[in-house]
Amino acid sequence: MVNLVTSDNESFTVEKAVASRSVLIKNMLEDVGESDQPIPLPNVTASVLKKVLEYCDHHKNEPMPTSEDLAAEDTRKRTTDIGEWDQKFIQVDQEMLFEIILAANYLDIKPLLDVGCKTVANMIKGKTPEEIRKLFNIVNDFTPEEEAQIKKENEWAEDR
Amino acid sequence: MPDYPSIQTRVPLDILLEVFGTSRVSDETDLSRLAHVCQTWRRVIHEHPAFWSTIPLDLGKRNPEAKATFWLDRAGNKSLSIRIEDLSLSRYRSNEEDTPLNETSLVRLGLVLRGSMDRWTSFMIDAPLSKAAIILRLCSGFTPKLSKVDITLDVDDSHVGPLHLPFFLPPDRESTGIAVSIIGCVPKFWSLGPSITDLSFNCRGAYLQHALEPLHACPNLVRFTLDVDDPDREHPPPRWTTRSVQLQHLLELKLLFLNHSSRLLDALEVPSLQHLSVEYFRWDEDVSDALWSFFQRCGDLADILITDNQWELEVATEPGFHGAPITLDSVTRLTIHGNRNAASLLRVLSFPNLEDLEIQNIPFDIVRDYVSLPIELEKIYLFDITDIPDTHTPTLLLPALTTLHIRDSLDILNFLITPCLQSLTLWGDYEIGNRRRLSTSPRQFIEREQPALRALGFIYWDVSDGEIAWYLENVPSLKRFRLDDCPVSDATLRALLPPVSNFGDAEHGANINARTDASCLLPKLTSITLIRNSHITPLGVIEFLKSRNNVSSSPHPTGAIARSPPRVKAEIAFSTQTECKLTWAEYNVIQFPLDIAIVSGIEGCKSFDANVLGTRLRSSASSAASFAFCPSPFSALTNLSRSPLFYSISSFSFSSFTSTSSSACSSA
Repeated sequence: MVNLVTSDNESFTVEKAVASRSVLIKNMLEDVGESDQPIPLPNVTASVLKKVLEYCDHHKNEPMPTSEDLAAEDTRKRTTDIGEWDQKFIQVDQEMLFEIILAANYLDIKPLLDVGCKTVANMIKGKTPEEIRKLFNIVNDFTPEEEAQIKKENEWAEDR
Repeated sequence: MPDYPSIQTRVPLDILLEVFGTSRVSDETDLSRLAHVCQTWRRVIHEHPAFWSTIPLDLGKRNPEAKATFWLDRAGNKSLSIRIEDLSLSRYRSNEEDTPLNETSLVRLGLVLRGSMDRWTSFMIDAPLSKAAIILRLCSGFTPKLSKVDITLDVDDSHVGPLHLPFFLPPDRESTGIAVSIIGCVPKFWSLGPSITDLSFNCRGAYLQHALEPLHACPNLVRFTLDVDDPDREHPPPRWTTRSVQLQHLLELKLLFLNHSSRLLDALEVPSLQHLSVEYFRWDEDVSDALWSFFQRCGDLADILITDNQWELEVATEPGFHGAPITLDSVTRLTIHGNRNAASLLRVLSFPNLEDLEIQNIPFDIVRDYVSLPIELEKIYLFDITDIPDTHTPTLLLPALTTLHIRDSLDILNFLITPCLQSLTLWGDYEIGNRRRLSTSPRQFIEREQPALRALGFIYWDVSDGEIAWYLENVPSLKRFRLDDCPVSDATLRALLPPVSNFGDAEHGANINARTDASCLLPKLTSITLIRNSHITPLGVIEFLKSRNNVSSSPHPTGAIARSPPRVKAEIAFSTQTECKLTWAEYNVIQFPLDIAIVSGIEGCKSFDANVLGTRLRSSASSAASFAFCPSPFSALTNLSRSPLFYSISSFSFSSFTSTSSSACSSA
């Protein structure tokens, strides 16, 4: 078993197979060898780690993606398809979605990061810039001059 | 605005890049739109050359040359994929006014693109010839990285001359595989030719000898597809002027719509060929001669598919064929749909190592010879076999046969001995007016052979519930059962229900009908396919799946839904004539089991299409999958119309599944 301690000082004891879905933790375990020392995760809160571990537990028996898999993923046409379980898992509020993405990035859990990025990509799909701003609470910080420049650039989108 | 921190400040740039990359490749989102969201996004997108390496240009829009320049400026030194289309309405709608040909703009575009040709990895253009010709004329030069060319042209004059592909390879480039697909005209290659390994061209209306000319420049072809509806059917040129074509490395050859396929087959020297496919042609005696000669020259053939246009050339009597017998040892898969000319050729061929045979419209004596020789024959498809003798003696032992499909000529079953048969599918006539009753042959066959069938299917038969019941009782080992376009009813499904036992549910104070499938018919059933059977109703299917999947009649008090995989998966399509009007109360009763039965039976549902009271509701891609997780797929529909006393689901369908199971359902 592996003991993980979150930034808000909560402790999680999980199977090694579950924790090792994180390449960061897997490497740490390999570096320190057999040890009862808790592993601190200063960038992850308990509520987020709980969610991330739920993902890791569900996928614990799947083979880890190899570097070849990751390279192939870059070259072949990616899709925004998300597996059924993952899709249900990622049905969280936007705040938690970003937290999961950040945690997956920090903990180096590429498949979870993919699920998060695909979910955001799906949210963006088909929306206008204004709709995207509204969805993600983004401020339109273009100056009127820049807006005019963008409009001009966009001329090629118009029919003849 | 919501009070949570913005994505702008929360998400690191490298993750944003990942999201934009996913958006770009998955739905080809034009990233220039995302770059208009805010300064950060604009900077991230504009400063990432990979996002600009695919240049999508629409000749129907203003200033494609300006767009190309904008993209190229941002693509840096990245390899480029050029995609040019003309999506102007006039190209697809005859009533639209033609878009004026802005030659200046096209010339500018050609000049802009020419400067980047050394970085092209793929080039695609789909446009009228008049526009494409201007661009191609200007884009002449070296393309050392090119690996894919895709050209589709609208050609007004079907006898247009060859299209010169002005792409060249430097002499020092290694000969790597280039795939070329051209629709609309015959290409002419220069130094590109020897590097082309995959070539497909469709030049309807071109003369065959012209269509063959490009092949001389492509000696390293591995795969070649030719689709020419050559115009010289009735009046072929008196002399065949094309030299023979040597393609030493060709493994796959596919020929479509050839009127003079015999001439082409005579002209090709393809000693390494493994896969031959000739489709949609007229099988005359010349074709038989040419195929016979072709087979003699191709000793490595593994897979042969030859299917003619049956309606084109009916031959009353089988002509004699005088070629010497040929044995094709290497062929393991053979598909032949032909006429009596085909039969005459087949008599001099033998295939001792076949594993998979599909044969149509061929006399029984040839079939007998073809199936009795190979000892490894596993799959047979026998369609419309003729001249079946009246004698009914089982003499044909097929020791390895596992899968058998027969259409129409069911009496063949009387001759077969099949100790390992696992799958039997019987096909009737597709035409509704020609539906016939099942003969007694299948029944006699099953009684005699008692095969341990795993799969059984009846398609296009006038068969009754009673007849089907006999089969269900006599093939207890079935795992997969299929009924298509048969006038059977829910009675067939009821016959498959487990017996009912009643017991009280003290906790909920209700009697629940519980079924056990210990003694039901087909206890091993895992898959059922019911397509357009005129008297099978949605409610009958629901009752069947609910029962076989042990779904409780009432949901759990918490509303939770069991998500265990269904034991019986279903593929369902109701006849469009099926009437199923549901009252609101009935609808509420069925929605839960329907959710379980249908949704859990179609794992991986990607889209949902519904028409409710004239309101079209479509859910696909992003939101569709979430339908699969709705407590009921119909809960979303109820939101559309909350208070109807009479509720009618006029149609609904599911499509695009990742699993082998799918479902489509419509009712009115």
